[in-house]
Amino acid sequence: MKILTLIKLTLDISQLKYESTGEPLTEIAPKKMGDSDKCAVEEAVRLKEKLGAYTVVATIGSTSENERIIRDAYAMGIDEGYIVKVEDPEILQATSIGKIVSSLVEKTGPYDLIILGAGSLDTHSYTLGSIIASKLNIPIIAGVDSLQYVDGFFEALCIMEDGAYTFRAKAPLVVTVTTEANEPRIPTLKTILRSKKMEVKTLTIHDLGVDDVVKVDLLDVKRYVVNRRKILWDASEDLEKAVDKFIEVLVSEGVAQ
Amino acid sequence: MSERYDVIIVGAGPAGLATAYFLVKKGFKVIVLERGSEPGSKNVFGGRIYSYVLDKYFSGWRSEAPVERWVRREKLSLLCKNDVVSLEYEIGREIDGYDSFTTFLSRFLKWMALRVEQEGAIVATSVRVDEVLFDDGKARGVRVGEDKLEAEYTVIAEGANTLLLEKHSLRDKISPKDITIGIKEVIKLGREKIEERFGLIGEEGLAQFLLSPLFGGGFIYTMKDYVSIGVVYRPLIKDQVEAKDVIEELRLHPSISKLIGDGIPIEYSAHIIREAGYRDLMSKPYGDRYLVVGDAAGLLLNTGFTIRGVDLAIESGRLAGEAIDRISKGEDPSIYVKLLRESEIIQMLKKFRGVPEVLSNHKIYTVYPEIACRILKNMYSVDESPITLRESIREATGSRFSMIKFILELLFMVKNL
Repeated sequence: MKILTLIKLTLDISQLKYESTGEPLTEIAPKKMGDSDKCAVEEAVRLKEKLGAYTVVATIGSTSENERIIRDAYAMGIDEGYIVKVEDPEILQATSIGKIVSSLVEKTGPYDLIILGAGSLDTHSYTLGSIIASKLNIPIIAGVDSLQYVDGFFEALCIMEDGAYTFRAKAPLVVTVTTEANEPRIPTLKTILRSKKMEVKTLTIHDLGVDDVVKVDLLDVKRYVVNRRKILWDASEDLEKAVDKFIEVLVSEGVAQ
Repeated sequence: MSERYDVIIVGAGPAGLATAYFLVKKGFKVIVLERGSEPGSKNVFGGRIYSYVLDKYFSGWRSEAPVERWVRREKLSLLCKNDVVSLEYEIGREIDGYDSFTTFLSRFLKWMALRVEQEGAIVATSVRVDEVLFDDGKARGVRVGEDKLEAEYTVIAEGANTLLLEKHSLRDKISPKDITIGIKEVIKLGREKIEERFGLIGEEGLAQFLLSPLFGGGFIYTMKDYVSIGVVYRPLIKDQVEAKDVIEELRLHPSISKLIGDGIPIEYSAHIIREAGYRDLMSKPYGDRYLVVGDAAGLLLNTGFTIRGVDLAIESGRLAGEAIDRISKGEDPSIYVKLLRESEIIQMLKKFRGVPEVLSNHKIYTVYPEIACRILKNMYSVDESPITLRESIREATGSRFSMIKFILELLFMVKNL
C-alpha cells in the first residue's frame, strides 16, 4: 500500500494579530503545518505501522519553512517528501493545486490513498479533496472523523449534523480528515534526528508537466468583526420595565419570539 | 541508540549556539537540543546586542545578521509622575560601525542557528532534555523522554532558569532577592512614525534606559517598524504595582504614551533575570565531562546603564569551546575556569560587582527621579521669585533626607556603576 499525504504551510491563526483597521499582521504571524493536515500525517503513519504502507508527503511552496514542515512530517514517521516550488502558494486557486497534485500522483504514484486535512486553517474552502478526486476520477470520503481499514475496505466514520455515517470505499480513494480523527503524535528525539538527515525532494511545476497556475485575486483581508449593539438598561429603578424593554429588543432583533 | 556525538549542547540560546559554533569549527561532532519550537522561542530579550563580539568571530555578520537598527542615540531618563528629566548621548557620525544594534533575539538566534548548521552541527528543536545522564559523577549524555543520547561532553546552556542544574543539585535554587523579572511588550508603530517621533534617520536607532518611582527600571529600544518597551521588575520592593500591571504604568506614562500610544501591542513576554552579577557566578561551572555556559553559569552583566548578556554568552561559548578542545587533548577540566578568569568577562563582572546592590536600593527609583524632576522644575519655572540652583536642590531634597546623605549615596552609586 502506498499513501500520499498533502500538507499545507499556514498561518498559526491562534497567534494572529491585527492592525486597528482590521488587517491581519501576516508578516509577523508564525507559520506551521495545518492542524487537520497533521492529523492526516498521523493517519498515514498509523496505516504504515498497521499495514506496512509506504508513506509520501507533499507540500506546495517556496520557503525554507516548507522544508521544515516536511521534516516535521518525517519526524512523525513519513518515508519520503516532495516540495513543489510555487511562489505565493497561499493564493493559488484550488483547481491549480488539484492539477499539480494529480500530476504529482501520476509521476510518483500510483497511490492507494491520498489523504489531506478537510479544510486549511487559512482559507477554509474545503474544496481541494473533491477537486483532486474528480481529476483522478476516484472516490472521496470527506470530513472523516475516524478511519479504519477493514477487509480490503477503507471504512470512515463521519459525524454530521443529522447523525453519524459510515462510508466504505476501496482503494484508490481520497480521504479528507478533521482534527477529530486522531491525536497527532509528538516526535521523539530519535525520530527528530532521523528527520534531519532525510532528503527533501523538490520539483517545479514544469517537472510535473504543468504549464501555468492560476492565482486568486486577493482584494482585501479583514478581521471578522461582530458588532455589538451596546444597549444598556437602567434596571435600578424599575426592574420589570427594564426586563420588558429587554424582551422587546430581543424580539425586534429576531433573537426571541 | 547507535548515534554518538562528541558534544551535546542543551539549549539553543546565544551561549549554546556560540559553543556549538566554535566547537564545530574545531571539528567536533555537535548537536544542540532546544526545548522551544525554534531557537530563541523561550527567550525574553530587551533588544540590544553589542557588536564587538560579532566583529571578532562572525565574519560578514553586518550584512547577514538580522539587524533592526544601529544604536546611535543613548538616552537615560528619570520619569516622575508627569515630568521627565533626560540625559542623552548621540554618537558622532565619524564612528566607524556602531557599537551596538537592536534586534529581535528570536530572529538573531535563527541566524546563528543557520550559521551553526552550515558549519555542520545539528540544531534539533522541540526537544526537551529531561536529565543529564551521570555515571559515577561523569556526564555521559542526556535523556529525552524515552530516548538516551550519548556524547563525550555535555554543555549545559539552559539559560536563567536553571532547571537541569537544580535537578542534579549542581546549583542552588536562586534566591528571590537575586531575581528581577524582565517584562516586555513589542509595539507596532510603523517606520515613519518611529523615525519622526524618536528623531531617527534611516538605520539609526535609540536605546533608552528609564528610572521611575512608577515602575522601577525600564527600557525602550527602537526596531525598524516596532518599539520594544520593557520593565525590569523587582519583586521584593514593597507597596508597588503588581507585576502583571507594571508595563501599563510605563506604556501609559504621558511622555511615553504620546510616542507609542497609537501603536498596537503585538507581543507580551516575561522572563526571570539573574541579577546578582559576580555573586551569582558558579564557582565551579564544570565537572567530569560537562560544562555550564552563559546565563546558567551566571554570566550576565548589569553595569547599571547597560545590561549585557548576549555578547558575554557568545564569549563564554567561545571559551567553553576552547576548553573542551583542550580537555579532549588531555588538559584538566579546570582549564575552563582558568580561561574564564583570564578573559574579560570575569574581570568585568568583578569590576561591576557593586551594581546589583545599587540597583536593589529602591531609592534610585523612588526618590532620585523625583528630586531630579523637582530641581529642574524649580530651575526652569520662571515666576516673580527666581531661586538659585542651590536653593532649588535644598527645596527638592530638604524634607526627605539630609544633603550629606544624598551626596554620599550619589558617590556610592557613581563608584559602583
